[in-house]
Parts: sequence; structure tokens; C-alpha cells
Amino acid sequence: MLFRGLKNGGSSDTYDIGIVATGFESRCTFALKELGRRRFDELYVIGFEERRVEESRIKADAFFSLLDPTEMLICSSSDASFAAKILGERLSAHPHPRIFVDYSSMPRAWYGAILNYLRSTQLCSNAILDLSYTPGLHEGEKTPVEVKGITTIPGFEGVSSGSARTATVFSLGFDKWLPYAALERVQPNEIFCVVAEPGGVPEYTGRALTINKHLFEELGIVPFAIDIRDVEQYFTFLTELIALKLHQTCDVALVGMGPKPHTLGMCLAAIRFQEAAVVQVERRATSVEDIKPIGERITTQVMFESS
Amino acid sequence: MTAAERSNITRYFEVNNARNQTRDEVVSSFVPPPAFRRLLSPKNHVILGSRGSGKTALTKMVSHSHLSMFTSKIAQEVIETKRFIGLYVPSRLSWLGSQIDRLSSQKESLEQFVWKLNLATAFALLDAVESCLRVYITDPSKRVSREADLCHEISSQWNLSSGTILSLADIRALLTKLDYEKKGALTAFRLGLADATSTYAIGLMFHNELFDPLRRAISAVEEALDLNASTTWLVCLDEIEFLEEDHHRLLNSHMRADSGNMYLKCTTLPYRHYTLETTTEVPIVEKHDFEYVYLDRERTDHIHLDLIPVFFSQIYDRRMRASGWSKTERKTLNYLLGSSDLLDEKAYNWSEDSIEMRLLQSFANTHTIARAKRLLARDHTKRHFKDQIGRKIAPALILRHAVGAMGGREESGIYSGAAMVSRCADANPRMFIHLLNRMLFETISGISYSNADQTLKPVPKHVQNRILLEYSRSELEKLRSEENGSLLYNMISSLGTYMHGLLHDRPLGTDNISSFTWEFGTDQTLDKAIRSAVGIGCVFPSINPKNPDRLPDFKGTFHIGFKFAPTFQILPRKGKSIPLESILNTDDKEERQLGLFLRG
Repeated sequence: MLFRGLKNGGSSDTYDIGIVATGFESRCTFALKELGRRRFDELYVIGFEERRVEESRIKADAFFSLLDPTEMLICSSSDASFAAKILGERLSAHPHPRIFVDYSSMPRAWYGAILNYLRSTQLCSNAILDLSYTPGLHEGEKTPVEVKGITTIPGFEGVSSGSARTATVFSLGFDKWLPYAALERVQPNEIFCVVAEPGGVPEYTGRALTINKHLFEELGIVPFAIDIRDVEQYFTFLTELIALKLHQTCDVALVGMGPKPHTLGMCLAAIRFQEAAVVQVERRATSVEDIKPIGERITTQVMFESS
Repeated sequence: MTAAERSNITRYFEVNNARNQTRDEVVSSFVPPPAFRRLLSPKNHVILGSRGSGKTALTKMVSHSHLSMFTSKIAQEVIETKRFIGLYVPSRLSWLGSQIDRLSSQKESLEQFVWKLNLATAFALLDAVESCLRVYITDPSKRVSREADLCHEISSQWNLSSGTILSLADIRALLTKLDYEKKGALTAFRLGLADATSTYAIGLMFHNELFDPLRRAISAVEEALDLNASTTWLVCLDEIEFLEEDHHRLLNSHMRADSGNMYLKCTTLPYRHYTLETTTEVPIVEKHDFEYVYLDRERTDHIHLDLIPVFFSQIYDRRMRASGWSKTERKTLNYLLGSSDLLDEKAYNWSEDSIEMRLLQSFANTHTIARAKRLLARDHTKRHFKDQIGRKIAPALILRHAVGAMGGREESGIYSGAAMVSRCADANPRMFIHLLNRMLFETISGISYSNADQTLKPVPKHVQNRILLEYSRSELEKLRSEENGSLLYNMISSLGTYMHGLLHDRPLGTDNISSFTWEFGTDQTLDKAIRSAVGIGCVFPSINPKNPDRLPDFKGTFHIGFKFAPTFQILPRKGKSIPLESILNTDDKEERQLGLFLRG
């Protein structure tokens, strides 16, 4: 199928398929608590292989068990084979599926795989995908994180254009030094930075600007500000930037270090433009922080149709 | 000076990374290190250098498109005789480093790597061909015709589309399309939506043995451009530290085999040539199958340390010239930054009531003071005293006095001067340019620029000090985010704290301890930390003069980067060494003092 477009906001209808993640972040249960089990014909819960003994994880697992899901699967954070397993089996039963995915606690490889599956499959003629994100409260001072590696998300590797130039768009958050690691790896000729404004919490933007001040000064740039809730606007910004300024002159690296809705926007833009790669700076966190839900959920509806 | 002219200056110094620079900028700002000549040879090389040491600039300059624009004698000779034709292959994320590779089998992963590298070298060849056509066929209509014939031949060799292919741009577009189709098919295959056979069949030619598509195309190019039988092709692969060990084995196999007229020049970080093994039973042999070129050797060698300011002066001059400044306007690096109170040779005053002598009395240990008295008593010219004590201890005395006088303020100017800035850049061109950019930005924004006569004025010492201190602290903080960052940060912090203690908290002798020795195999964690630290340029090994391109394998002497000197208030000098274990087993008091430096 082809990716046809997106819009802000989901639907109040029921869903044929729901896919959610269970993990140590308390916010992972928020969407289902709000929507309820009955909205889903089939519900799949994907649990991280890692960190299964954290107290908040045990509570989340227990919550989802009580909902009597269709299936609970365990996967490592880099393994997204569940997407093919679930969608491959179920799409033939639902020719015009309505799919709900709560990606609040999902790694990019997981929701990336769902997007990739839908754009690669011919099993149905159209699909509507509602992607839900619950903003979270980061309470503690961000502890320094080590870089584990810098990679592209499967299916979003971008292509070589033979261009000698590379442009990078950063979506920035609270990791002060990680953008430097990405810069070292990508070594772009042009750099653009985006900060969420407003963010998920009132103090988000100020904090992000302060933490990244050093980067802005060193690069001599002023960041763009885009509403965390407006994935449509973020997508439009990226596609216009690529189409009008970068297309056919640069390879493009989209580096998502800010809120997940912005990273979702990057994935969708990379579907639209083959030369754009979505880059992830993999982190080895020195401590684990339970992210509690705060504010309203952000839902983005993505439409796929057969070509 | 107009705003445009000011912006032009900062532009030439803002871009401190060769990968970000245009071809013209790389060529116009290139100051060839001794290694440059070595690379223009029919040999395989593995070029080792810490981040920013100039690996990318060097290998770009070997490529035909850059070399043909360089005005040096050797470059012109190589181009005119067609002795070497270089290709530059960057390590793009689009062909390296997808998470998907981890989930593939080893065989599958290697197959994909070969495909991608073959494609990447194909793109690199097209750039070289474009340059060769421009240089060797001056008649425009002949060039167009030759390009069309050559493109037809190359596309045939690569089994590309049989549609009309008239130009290199057409081939590039086809290769891009191929890459896109391949990636789409691979994604679909991994999601169970496509079969392996049809996926594999896309761009089948590039699944051939590594460099086979390149060699086939090279044959066509040689014929089309009437190249000599003696023309040698130099394939420069940049940043192979991002490859896996299996990939290195594959590249090593090519270095071991009879390559005909093609040789590899691979750049990587120190200790990141992961293996000498090949895909056969026989490993590659250094100096036989390949040679190491260690770029940092020229900058860590004791003798060459003093020559670094000269090298950097050349870089400064070249960049200022490229941005349009006349000789009188651009001044010199020494004019802009001045002399260093700590590093430049100067005539100290050792008379009885001089400041230097009073500092000696205050800070030196009893043994040194006694020795000083003996030497002074023996020789009224003070020559022996100056040689044996004076010039060795003076910088430490001055620094200790300056730090003591600061009393918590940061407005000292002690870390300043052209020699100091060069030293704190760790002889790293990228770091030096970054620092110079900061200094120039302050200058041009009005602090040291005179509108009346439109000339640069020297950057004030306290400004230089502030910039070096900010840079030093941020480099230390950034370590936390590196792979094994906590370990690196703690190691450097411990070393710096220890050396601070030696300089500021104890009576001084003439021996300045600022290096450590380490025997690999003693502790795996520290082995890894030291190798990482050398790789990213925060620790530097002392080089064996008999084999200066060889990094220490078993035992070595290392010093922490001079970039950390302002943070820990130590001298940026190589001195005597002690075992690392002695430093790391020091008591907690010194570790607690670390907070003082980092908070300022």
C-alpha cells in the first residue's frame, strides 16, 4: 500500500486490531485505561524482553493480563518480527483494517516495523492507523547516557544519491551531548534543529532550549519550534524542507532525540522521501526512570491505500 | 570590513570538518602532512588517527577530483602522468549501520555489506571518472561524446537498465534507484512479504565478489581514457571503524591478495583496525601486505610538539588567504594570539630578589632548593642552574602562582598564546580550527577589531583563557556520552586530579609527572578504556621512534590530552611517567577536589 497522508486526531470508533507495549514506564497503560478493552476487536500486548522485574513493569503486565488480550508477546527492543506475525495473520481477515498502536513506550524499531509492514503489504486495499502517544513526566535530572551505537531504523535507511552533501534535521530533547555523537557520525553540511513548543509539559521548551544552548551557540543556529501535538505540521515542515531545499542535492539524516511524535513525523517524512534516513542514537542509560503520564494523549491518524 | 567579509572569515573557520567542506574549501585549506606523500604510492595503507586528526581531508586529497585542483608539485606530477587515480568512499549511514544487520545471519549480513560497499565504490568511481574527463579531455564536444560512450560501457558492465544512458548523472540516478529498490525489497523480505530470490536478484552484479564491479568498470575507464598500464587505482575507504570485524577480515583479504593495480587506503581510529585475520587461514602481515600510517605520531612526538604551532600557522594563513584577507590585513597567528607565558622560551630573571627566585623559594621542595643554591654558588653566570633547574621548573612555578592568585576567579590569562592554543588543540586540525573560530568570532564581533584601520587586533589573554577553559570543560563532559563514557570520564578525571595535586599541593621538583605507563592485559576494563581514549583523542601514546606508526600493543607510555590542562590547571607538557595503577589507587581526598575544577 502507499502512504497517503496523515492528520491530527484519531477516531472514536472501535478498532479491528490494537497493538500496545508493556514496559516499566507507567504511561504505557494510560491509553488502554482511557479507551477500555471493548474498543478493540483484537488486542496484542508486546512486552520487552528486558527489565521485566521492575515494579512498574510487573504492575503494567498485570493490568494488561486482566484485559484478556488476544495475545501477549515478548520481544527484545531490537526485534520487531511481531509486526509481520500479527499483521500478516490478521490483515487477511480485515480487508479495510482500523488499527490502533500506542507507541508511547515503544522503541522506534517496533512502530517503524508496523509502518513498514503497512506500506509493503498487498494484503488489504486500505488501512487506517491511529498512533497514540501519552506525554510523560520526566521527574529527575537526566542522568548522563552513553552512546551504544548510531544506526538507522530498519526500513528507514535512506538511499545513496551519490551526493557529496548531507543535511541533518535534529529533533532535540534533554540529552545535552548525544547530538554531538550524531554529528560526529553523520558529519552534515547543513543542520536544522527543532524543539517542541509547546511540549508535553509547560516547562518542556525552556528546559530543552537551555540544555541545548551550547549546541545552538556552537553551530550558530536558531531552532525551529513546532507543537508536540501537531505531527501534521511537523511532517509538513520536514517534507517542505526536503522538497524545496534539500531534494536531489543532499542525503538527509533525520535524528530524533526529542518527543516521539516528532520522531513519528520523521518516519512518515522518510516514507515520502527515499533519500531521508531516520537515525537513532542508541543509548545505554545508567539508570532507569519510570515515566508517568501527564496531559492529554496525542493521536495521529495515518492513511494507507493501494496504489 | 563589510558584513559579508566578516562572515566569510568565520565561514572558513566554522567549517572545521573536512566532510562538511566543499571540494574547493578542502583543497584551498589543505596543508599536507608528511603522510600525504606516503599515501601516493602503490601500497595498501591503514591510516590511524584520532578524531579530527585530518584523516578525511587526507584521503579526500588523494582522490582525483581533489588532487587535480591542488597546486603542489607532487600533485601536479601525479595528475599529469596519470600515475595514480584516487577514489574517495565515505562511510554513509545509508549504506552502513542499520539495526537490521544485527538480526540477520552472518552470511546474510556479509552479503549485504558486499553489495552496499560495491555500490558505494561505484558512486566513488563515477566521481573519479568525472574528474578524469574534465582534466584529460579538454575539448568539450569530445568530452561529452567520450562520456556517453564510457557510460554506456560502464552500465553494461554493471547490468544496469538498457534504456538511454548518456551521462554520469544518468548512471548515478540508476544506482540510486537500485539502492531504493533493494532496500524496499529487503524490508519486505524481512517482514515476510517478499522472497529471498527476488530480493537477491536486484542489482545482482553488486553481489559479485567485493570490488569486482569496480574492477570491471575500471577496465572500461582505462580504455576510454587511454590510461597507462602503470596507472594505479587508490581506493580510499573512510572511517572503517564503523564496520564489523567480519568486514575488516574481508578488506584484509583484499590487501593480502595480488590486487593488480588497485590498492586500499583505509582510515580508522587508533586501535580500531579490529583484526589482521583474513577470510583464509593466513593473516595479513604489516609492512608486507600493508602499512600503518599513524597521523597523531607527528603530533605526539616530543620533537615535533614544538613544530605544531608552525603547522597551525600555515593552516591559519591558508584559510585567511582563502577568505580574501591580504597578507597585511590577516596578520599572523602569533600576532593574533601572542606568546604563551608557560610554553614559550623566555629569559627568566633568576636574580636573588626576582619573582622567579621567590617563587622557587616558596614552592620548590627542599632538595631542589638546596641543589639550586649549590649550582648558583658554583657559577656566577647561572648557566648550569638555568639548564638543570630554571627552565624545567619555571613554567610550573608560574602556573602555580597564577592559579593561587586567582582566588576562585576565572579571569586569568595564563592559558593563552599561540603555542598554548596549539597545544590545547592536541595538534588536532579540527580542534584548532574550532578554537580559532571562537577566538575570531570574539575578535570580529568587536572586542579586538578596529574599524578605523580595519585590522585585526590581538585577542586578549583573558578571552583566550576563557575560551580554552570552556572548551576543556565541555570536552571532559562530552566523554560521559561516549561508548564506555563513565569509565573514560572517571579515568581522565582521576588522572587530571592527580596531576593537579602534584603541581599545586606538593613541593615541586624539576620532574614534571604528566604521563602514565600501562601494561595491556593487566585489567581488561582499563585496557578497553585506554584504547577508546586513544581512539577519540583524549589520551595519546608515546611513540617508539624505531616504529613510529605502531601503537603500543603490550606496554606503553601515555599522556592525557593537553585539552584537559585548563580544567585541571596543569601544564600541557609531556613529562615523566608513573604506572597508572599508582594514580588510580590514590586516596579519596584528591578525588573530592575534582569538583572544584569542574565547578570553577
